[in-house]
Amino acid sequence: MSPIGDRRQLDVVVRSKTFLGASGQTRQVLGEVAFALEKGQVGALVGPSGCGKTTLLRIVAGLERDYEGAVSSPDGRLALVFQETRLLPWRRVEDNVRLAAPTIGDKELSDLFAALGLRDHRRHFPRELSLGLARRVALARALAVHPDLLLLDEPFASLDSATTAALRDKIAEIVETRAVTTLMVTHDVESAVRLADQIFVLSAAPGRLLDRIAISGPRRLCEATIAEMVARIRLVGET
Amino acid sequence: MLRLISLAIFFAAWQIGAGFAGPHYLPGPLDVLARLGVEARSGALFFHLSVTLLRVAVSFVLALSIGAALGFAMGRNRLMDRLGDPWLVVLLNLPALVIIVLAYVWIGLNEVAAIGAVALNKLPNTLVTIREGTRALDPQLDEMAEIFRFPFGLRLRHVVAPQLAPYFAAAMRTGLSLIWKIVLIVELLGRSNGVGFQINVAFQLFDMTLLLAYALPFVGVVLLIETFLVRPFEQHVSHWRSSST
Repeated sequence: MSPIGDRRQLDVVVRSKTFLGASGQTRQVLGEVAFALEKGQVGALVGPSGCGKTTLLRIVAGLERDYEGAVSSPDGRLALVFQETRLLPWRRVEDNVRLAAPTIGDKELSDLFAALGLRDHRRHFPRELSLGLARRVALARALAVHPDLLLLDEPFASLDSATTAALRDKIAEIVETRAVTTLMVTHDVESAVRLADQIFVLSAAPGRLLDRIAISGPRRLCEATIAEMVARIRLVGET
Repeated sequence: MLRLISLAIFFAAWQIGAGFAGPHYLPGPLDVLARLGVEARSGALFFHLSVTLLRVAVSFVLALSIGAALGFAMGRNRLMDRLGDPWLVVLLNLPALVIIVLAYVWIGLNEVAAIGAVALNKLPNTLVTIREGTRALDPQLDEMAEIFRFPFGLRLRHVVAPQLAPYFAAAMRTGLSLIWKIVLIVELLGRSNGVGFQINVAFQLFDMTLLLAYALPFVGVVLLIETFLVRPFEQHVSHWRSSST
């Protein structure tokens, strides 16, 4: 990855990504996908299971290096909120955040925990938290490093609707306040519509870009418009 | 409490066994205790015990540190694993006695040979244990550490070490039990001091009381090490599994 200049946007061009199977056969998981995000924009990758969304996110994160294409990302910190949270189970919540962001001050950490509803959980071990709370800790860890690019892998997977709505609102608020460029992978089309400025719809495997839908003012859409957008995106995904 | 009851049962069984076997073959605990007092007052017991414990400690540290470092390297690096594996198989299957005799023949009847032979006997077990632990390291946590740019030292201390700790504790436990047995053989074969040497003297004189007077405190010390060092270490590294706020 390389810096792309003053606009600090994310520019992704992937032509192909294949995996080598156990039997020695190659399997293509991604086809042509190209998109860009401007600074502070939120992008959402949606598509059916197995279409390569997470692989694409891992390419952007630099965790997958063997692919055809190029990714240009902001010249700064990157943070990824993994689907499985990947907290250190032997460290308390507070330590998990501090290890990723050793220079974070006490006040900033307290404010971050307060903003994410974690104030009462900072001394807990990860195993003592619900999945929703663990996801918030993973988000706190990611935000604590002041990322220039925030990547979210299925942040709402396995969460009930109330927890999803609460976490989505928190993410929207923080991302908007900090103007951090964000790319999210999700199955939850409604959350994508409510959160993202641009939605990228991928086809079934090998995933290629089917449609790019720009949403103006996603945080201020009325319910009827949201329902209409969700229906439209689902239709694109089915074609 | 249960450990004390278990010990009491052991001593009771010993006393009963001594009654049947006779003092020549199996002296009772009180006779052994009296002899132990004599050896302690003369200073011989503490001298031989400390010499042996020093050998145990040095070989233990050597085997654990070198074995852990090599095991980690082999678990992480496939080339090193392939290169080192035949050596490992040979060392694992070479009888302890062969290593001890070869060490004495090649290096001489000295401390370097004695401690080296003991460490070399334990090293492959530690290596295998830590190698398996390294292979089982969670790649997801590795990726997390990479994304959040954990420096090498931080990654080793907070990501790798806690995952290897149970394997290290297992290596410590088996290491202690194996090393003190081998140290006695090494002393019996080629040293002029230590508990192993004294046991050999007792064997030559067929003095069972002397033999048990040296064996018993040594076992006691090993039990203390197990209770106050190994077990607390195990509890410390796994406290996060059970502790609550």
